[in-house]
Amino acid sequence: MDKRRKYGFLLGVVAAALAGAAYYATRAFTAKVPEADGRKPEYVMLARDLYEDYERDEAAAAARYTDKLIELTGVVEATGETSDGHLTVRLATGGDFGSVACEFPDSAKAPATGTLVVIKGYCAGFNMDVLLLRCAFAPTKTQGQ
Amino acid sequence: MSRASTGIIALLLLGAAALPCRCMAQDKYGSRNGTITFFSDAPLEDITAVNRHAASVLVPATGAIEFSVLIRAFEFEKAMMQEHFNESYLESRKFPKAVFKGRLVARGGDDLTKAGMHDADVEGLLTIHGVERQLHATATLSVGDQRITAKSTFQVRPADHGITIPAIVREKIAKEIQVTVDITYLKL
Repeated sequence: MDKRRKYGFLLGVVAAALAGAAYYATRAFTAKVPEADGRKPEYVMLARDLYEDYERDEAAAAARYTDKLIELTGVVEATGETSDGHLTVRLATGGDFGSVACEFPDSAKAPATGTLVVIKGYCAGFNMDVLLLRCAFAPTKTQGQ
Repeated sequence: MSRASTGIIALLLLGAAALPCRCMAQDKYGSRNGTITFFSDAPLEDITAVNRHAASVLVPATGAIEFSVLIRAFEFEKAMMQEHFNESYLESRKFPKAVFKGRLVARGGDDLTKAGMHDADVEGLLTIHGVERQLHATATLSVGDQRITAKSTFQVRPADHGITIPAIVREKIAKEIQVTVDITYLKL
């Protein structure tokens, strides 16, 4: 009787462990790519500083910023929409050519050109512009805070 | 006729003579948000990824065309597939961009600088994962005032670009990936 209970208990533990493993594996397999909204950024900086880092040394900037959640403060240079309705916001960098391009997961309300905004997004790299994906607007910090 | 009048007329004639040369200048068109979609149709799973930030320049007079695409800007539905794509298959930390340099050749002697719809052949070098390969494709262009829209669909074999798919997921990734390009250029 003791042996039966013992083996029954062990079987239960193994079954529970397998069920747990299957649950986490399914969650990991079906998990969606994380969005920026509600997450703490790894870097907080001005849009022009991020662009200048890439201009100065693209490889070093890529090693530092790729896939990182970055919160940027900048002035809206232009807004647009991708062919499938995603809002894009370009932040001015003071340069002649490039900007920081921020793509939002859906058609959010576009801010007016010239507005100071704070945007969080995941850095995908540099290709004429610095590109941030899966972006979200963050509250604008007032002066002195 | 006074010397001043002669001088002014000469200047005007010189300016008029220069006009045709300026009109024949090779206008450039550019885009920073072309859409590139790839689709893998495999026995166990269909996978789609979209990149909405392809950068490209086109010179219709010569057909010269170049693309530069950030690999990390391809967006997948599932986080695990996006991670495998970047870390294991395309190794995007080592090879962050895919690049195409080539030429559009209009069919039937068409002139790509003229407004209207045009069919064209695309020839050039496609570099993915650090490996360069010749690409032949077809494209449809719609040329308008200050704007050109181009669309093309072609197949790419990951193996041709040194991309190794592990045996364990081989049935989930197609041997040929369908790539669709949809881009609107504005005159620069």
